[in-house]
Amino acid sequence: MKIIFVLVLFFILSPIYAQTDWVKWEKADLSYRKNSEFDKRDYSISGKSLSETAIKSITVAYWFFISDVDGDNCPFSPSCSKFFVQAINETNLPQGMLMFFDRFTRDLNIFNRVNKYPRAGAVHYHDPVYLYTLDEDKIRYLPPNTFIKSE
Amino acid sequence: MTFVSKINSTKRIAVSKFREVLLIIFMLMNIYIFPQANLHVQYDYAGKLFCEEKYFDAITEFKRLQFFDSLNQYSFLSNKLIGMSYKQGGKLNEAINYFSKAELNSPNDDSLFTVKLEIIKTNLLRRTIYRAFDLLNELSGDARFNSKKDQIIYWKGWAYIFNDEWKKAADEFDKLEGEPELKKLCENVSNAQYSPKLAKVLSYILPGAGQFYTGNYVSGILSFSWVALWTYISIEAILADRIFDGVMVADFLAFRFYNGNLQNAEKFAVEHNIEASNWMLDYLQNNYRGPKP
Amino acid sequence: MNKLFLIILSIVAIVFPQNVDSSFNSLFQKENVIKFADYLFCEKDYLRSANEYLRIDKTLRDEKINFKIALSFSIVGDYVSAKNIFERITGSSPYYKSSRLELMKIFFLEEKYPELREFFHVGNDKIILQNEPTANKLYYISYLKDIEEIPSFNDFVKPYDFSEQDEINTLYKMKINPPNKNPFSASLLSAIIPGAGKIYTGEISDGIFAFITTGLFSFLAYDNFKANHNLRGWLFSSLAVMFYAGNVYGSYASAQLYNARIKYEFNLQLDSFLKSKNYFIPEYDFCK
Repeated sequence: MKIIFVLVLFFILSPIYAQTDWVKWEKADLSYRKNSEFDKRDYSISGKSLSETAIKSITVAYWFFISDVDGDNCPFSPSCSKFFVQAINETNLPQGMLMFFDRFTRDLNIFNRVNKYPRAGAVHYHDPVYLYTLDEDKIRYLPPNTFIKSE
Repeated sequence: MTFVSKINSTKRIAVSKFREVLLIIFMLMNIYIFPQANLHVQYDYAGKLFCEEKYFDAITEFKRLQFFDSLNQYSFLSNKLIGMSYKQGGKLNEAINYFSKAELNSPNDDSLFTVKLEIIKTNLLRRTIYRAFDLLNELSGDARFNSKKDQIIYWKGWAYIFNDEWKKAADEFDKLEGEPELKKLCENVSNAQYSPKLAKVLSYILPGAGQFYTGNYVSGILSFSWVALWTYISIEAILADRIFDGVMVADFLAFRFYNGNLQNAEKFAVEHNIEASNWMLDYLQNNYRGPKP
Repeated sequence: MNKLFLIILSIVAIVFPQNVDSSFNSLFQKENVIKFADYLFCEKDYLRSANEYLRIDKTLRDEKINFKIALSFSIVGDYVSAKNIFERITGSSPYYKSSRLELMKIFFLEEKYPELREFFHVGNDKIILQNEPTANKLYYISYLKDIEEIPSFNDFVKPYDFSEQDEINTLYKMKINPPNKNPFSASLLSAIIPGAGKIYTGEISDGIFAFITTGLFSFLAYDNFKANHNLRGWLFSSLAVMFYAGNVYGSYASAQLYNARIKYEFNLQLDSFLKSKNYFIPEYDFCK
């Protein structure tokens, strides 16, 4: 296990100086700006179907009145409420609910997350919906202890 | 042959031998000067590419120059310009690598100082600010650069800017005679920023107060309401002897919203500060005309 | 006579260096370009090296240079350009065999395994390739990468060296019989005992928590029904059912994830083995 961990880190993190010039590059647009570490929520209610709009409205209301106020309690990225919305959109309501309860159970389990999930940022773990749709082809496994840059 | 004519012919042989030697010296000089003159042309060519912002190709030509420069005449300049090219291309680690090589070959203290400054500036761009501070401290302690104290202070100010310490930056620029603009700008940012610690303390004492301090009134009202509501319910439950219910409500709800309130107060202050910093950083990058990283 | 000759020579000696203007720079003459390109190649600055070699006119390049250009492109990932040049290396060249091996390697890197096998079996170079140990090794190991029917073990292991046999053995076994978990078994176990399925797939703490939550809510439901708090009873029992069903579902997904992890680790091991062996291609001595 440790060997694999080291190998993964090596392949992902090893900087070889000559390699930066293996592709021709142009002048870079370096900005002085600092990036904000905080997750920005998408509050738009427009959805593809009526049910999507309905669910999104409920979720936005939940975010506004409750979730934004009780702080950042979900260790995962996407957060549990976002996970729920995405799960329903990708599959259907019953399956989405099952995925959500499974996710909630994993949320309760505070032990050993470091060695199970890859990292997304400083304090969150990467746990996307496509791993749990039961569609094997959608699964893209990422090992723990690696850092995932969100797009 | 008479004695005189023998001497004359010996003289002639000596003179022609002398000419031969001169010829050889001239030829040797050609071989010596010729390739080095070529290098000057190569240096100009590489420099032209650099000015045209064709950095990848400029690096190629400077490397060619280095390869054929057996006397290392152009070592300092080529390494420095390769470093500048990498810096313009955003390849900051390589840039520092080549600047360090230039350091080893600097012909005099002024050049050495320029290159050391470039390393500091690249560290700022790379956000390895602590390294920049270390290098600046080294410079101010170095007796060779006593005449350049002003420049060192100027760049220390910039290091504070990149480290988000605008008040300290303003203080540095204050020490200089010619930077009232930068001092004013830094002071403006410093004054516009909130203290995350203060926000957290305010919210600690009164839920919602920190959010009011940072201008997030709606969030402050919501925080206050929720905490008040659940605290009231849990106390009421405990007083009515439904201890279990009371403790449950207090734990899962009242504390949760209270912690969220603390988190938000700090988060709003920090977010606001980042926005203020970024605004000023953009302004400096696009509009300020003085030396920049 | 001598004096005139000397004067002319000294004029030429002074004027000659000034002849150097930007249109005539000896550093761009063929020999110097080659020297510089060789240097770049050995410094692993492959793209620059290839571009330098390409400055030289096609008709003046020898096969060794063409091979190095193609090799550089292959290393930096420009497989199209690499293939173009490798394919044009003729049978009479000493680099012909190496170029065919490099082409096989590119098939591998491009993940075109059926094409690789076709190249080996029926391509124009099949006689050369089938007599080459490297080509045989690459041919057989390509079966580990996709889902074609894999040859029997005895055939499979033949081309490899003694030092490679252990690893090949392990990889072959992992390929035909991966230590997977059955998703149906996982959900069945969780249906019988909540959390058991997750323990089966190695998520022991998740399984325990699932058991605790289902148990807790079931107990709360039972307790409230007994105390005639029917509303709360129904609330807790529906939560218990949701957690139970969620766990059965999650156990299935967990087994799938476990299998995905096995596959990932297999590929990682295979890739690192290939890289460490440089795809079985012997090292070149361009930079000794």
